[in-house]
Amino acid sequence: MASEGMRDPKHYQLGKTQFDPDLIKEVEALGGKNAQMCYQCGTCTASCPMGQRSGLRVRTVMRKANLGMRDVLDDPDLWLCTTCYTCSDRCPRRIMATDAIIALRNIATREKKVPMSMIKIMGAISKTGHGVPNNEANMKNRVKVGLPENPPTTHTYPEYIKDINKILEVTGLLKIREEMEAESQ
Amino acid sequence: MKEYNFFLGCIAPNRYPGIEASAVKTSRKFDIELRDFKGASCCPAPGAFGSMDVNAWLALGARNICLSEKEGKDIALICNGCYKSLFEANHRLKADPAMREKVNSILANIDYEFQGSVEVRHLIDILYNDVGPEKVKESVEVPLTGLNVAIHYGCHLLKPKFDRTFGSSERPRFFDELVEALGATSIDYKEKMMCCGAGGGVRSYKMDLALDIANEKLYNMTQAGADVIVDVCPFCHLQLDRGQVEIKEKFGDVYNLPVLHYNQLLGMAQGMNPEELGLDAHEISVEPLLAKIL
Repeated sequence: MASEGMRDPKHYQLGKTQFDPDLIKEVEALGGKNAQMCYQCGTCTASCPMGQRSGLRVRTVMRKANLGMRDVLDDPDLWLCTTCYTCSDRCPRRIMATDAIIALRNIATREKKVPMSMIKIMGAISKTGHGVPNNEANMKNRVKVGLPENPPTTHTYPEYIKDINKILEVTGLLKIREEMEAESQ
Repeated sequence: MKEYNFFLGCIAPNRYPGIEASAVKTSRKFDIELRDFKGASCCPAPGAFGSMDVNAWLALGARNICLSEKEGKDIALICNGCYKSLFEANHRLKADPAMREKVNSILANIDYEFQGSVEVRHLIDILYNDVGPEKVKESVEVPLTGLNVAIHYGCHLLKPKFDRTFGSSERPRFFDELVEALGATSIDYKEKMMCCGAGGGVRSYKMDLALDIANEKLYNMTQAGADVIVDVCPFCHLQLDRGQVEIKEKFGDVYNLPVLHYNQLLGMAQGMNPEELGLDAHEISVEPLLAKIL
């Protein structure tokens, strides 16, 4: 019945927007502690260096997450946060809005809504152990300052890379990467 | 002599080796040995990797920490991004048994277990809190008198403040004191604590917006009369150094403001030559700086 549906937030819908009360619980479980405490003062948006030059509005992200508006996961601006944590340090409710954004990005990643630029960084780590691997010009610069061509990391000891890939596999990231790479071709 | 496992990360060893070399050389003056850390990987990049999966981020960070635990060595590092990944992983896994259990269940797949037996320190923290500005000052052979330094702390050294030990992230002083110990002047500039713009995966996602933030910082630094930018993060370093080339191409703004990591500035003050500090590998020429201090 429609009236019962309105009382049950699980079925609450306005226009095309679904309201999912579990979204904010997921955000909190993934590190966005106390996100439900947000009282919309806007200190976050006012402090945001990226908000001054883009469509990212941290207060709006927090509101949408609290209302359970899952379309926040499709917003390309969700990926504009530089994670500078200025909003989090200034929040009068001590909410880690940055961590709430990171949590929303985690959920978006599971739904394969993560930008390919992120998947590429994962690919580099999976292949070399480094997000930014060495190159030939840099090897020469290393030798010039008295260092070996490669650092004593996974670059010198690639046998450690299999452990990194095992972690990517058991956390499900490897599968997401493979599927997204296949779909983008 | 205090020994640390030297966690290199990616950008320092693979783009700015002078930062790596200068850290090792300058630390020896204070009886600190930064030793090879075998098998370490990317921290992994907190903004980019944490954004995909926080548990995988913590587990990959913990893998690096576990390697050092096996050798019984504390970790020293020179990058704010690495600091966020490894300091927070170490701190959170020590403090939160449920999180530790979760991450250890991931690590069990590679036969690793996080013990919580070592410390993770940023070298700037070691220099300030263990060595101290006075001893840093005593190591100076070429005082950098008259040099106007625009300090860039970088975000993840200080923030989130509840997950750090440095106190307020609004007006910190310790880095300024370490620069002034070398005889240089730390200048004030508008929005000094603002982000460089590169983090969170934004530099690779929307470079124009990332550079727009850097451009504002560079403008503010130049307006305040900076001779050089000094940072403690190779990723901020790359954004502010190579970023100047990209900003020139994209927006037409030219600064030619040299960028040094603190360890490189310290090396210059300790009398090392620019080549051994890798300054010639920077995108923006350091010649005007050398002319001023040598």
